Amino acid sequence: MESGLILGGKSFTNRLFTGTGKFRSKKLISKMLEASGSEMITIALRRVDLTSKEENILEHIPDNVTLLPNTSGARNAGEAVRIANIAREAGCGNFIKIEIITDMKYLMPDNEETLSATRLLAEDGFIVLPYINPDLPLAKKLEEAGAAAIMPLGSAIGSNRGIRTRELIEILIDCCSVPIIVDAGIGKPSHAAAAMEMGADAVLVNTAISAARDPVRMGEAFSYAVKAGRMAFLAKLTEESKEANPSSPLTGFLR
Amino acid sequence: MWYLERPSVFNGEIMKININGHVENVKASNLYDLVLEKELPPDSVIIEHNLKIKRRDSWPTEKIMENDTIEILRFVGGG
Repeated sequence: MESGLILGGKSFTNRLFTGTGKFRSKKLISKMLEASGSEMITIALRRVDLTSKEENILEHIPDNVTLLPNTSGARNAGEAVRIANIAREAGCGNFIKIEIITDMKYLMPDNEETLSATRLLAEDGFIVLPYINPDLPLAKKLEEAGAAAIMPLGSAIGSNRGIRTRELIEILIDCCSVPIIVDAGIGKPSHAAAAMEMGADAVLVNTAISAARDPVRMGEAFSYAVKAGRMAFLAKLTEESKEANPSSPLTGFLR
Repeated sequence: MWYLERPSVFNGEIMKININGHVENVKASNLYDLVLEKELPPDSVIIEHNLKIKRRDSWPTEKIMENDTIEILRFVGGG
């Protein structure tokens, strides 16, 4: 059997990472985790709404699932570092997904600020997973800065448009030594399978699961897709060609 | 549980502090009483007091002063 994906000294057998956003009921989160077998899940930090009673999201995440707090809401490296420190102080562990966004239409990550935050947080002992627009020179700098993995976007967050940055992600997979986790835009299991077939080490899926009519079943569907894609990658895919290549012999016909 | 204890006796002073970006008048004189005053579940909120995270067990002794800046945070769903 294949050994797990190692991140920050921790081994992950399941290569489907999930998110907690947009579930219509928080109770579905633990059921989805059980059905999908996902071992890593993202959470976000926000101000408490002092006028309404909200549920505690951590109650719905079992202890064996690793928390990946994100820095969403951060507009620069300083804000991301602050959020990361709060999450760690609050007992969420050392994992942090850096998400620094100023563009509110496409939610494109700010690569430059992300690099600065990665440097600061990796130096401070965090296991840093930066969310980026796929760019090889940046990815190499992130590696040098101590990123534990790189999370390139497939397409805009929550857009469900699939792996539109395919060629750029393939370059990262080819040239980076840290794991590549495709994040954002994965809208269906076939997208996740495609990312894994390309050789991505894992995928992070939130909206496509949480906003599905049946998030629990969709989580399970994604887990099959991720496993199938990973197996296909390990089994080495055959070459594509423009012309047909007969799979039955072209001799000895009964004529 | 410790947080079910009664809040310390109100000493009659009202302070103006900044909570989550809004200026508010509060009666609480420490972080623990503030959480009770706001009717928040102490085991699921995180407090940053003048830019420093305060551990839950220190809340009863963390004094609130006039014009302090307090962020009361929690984890929510996100991707």
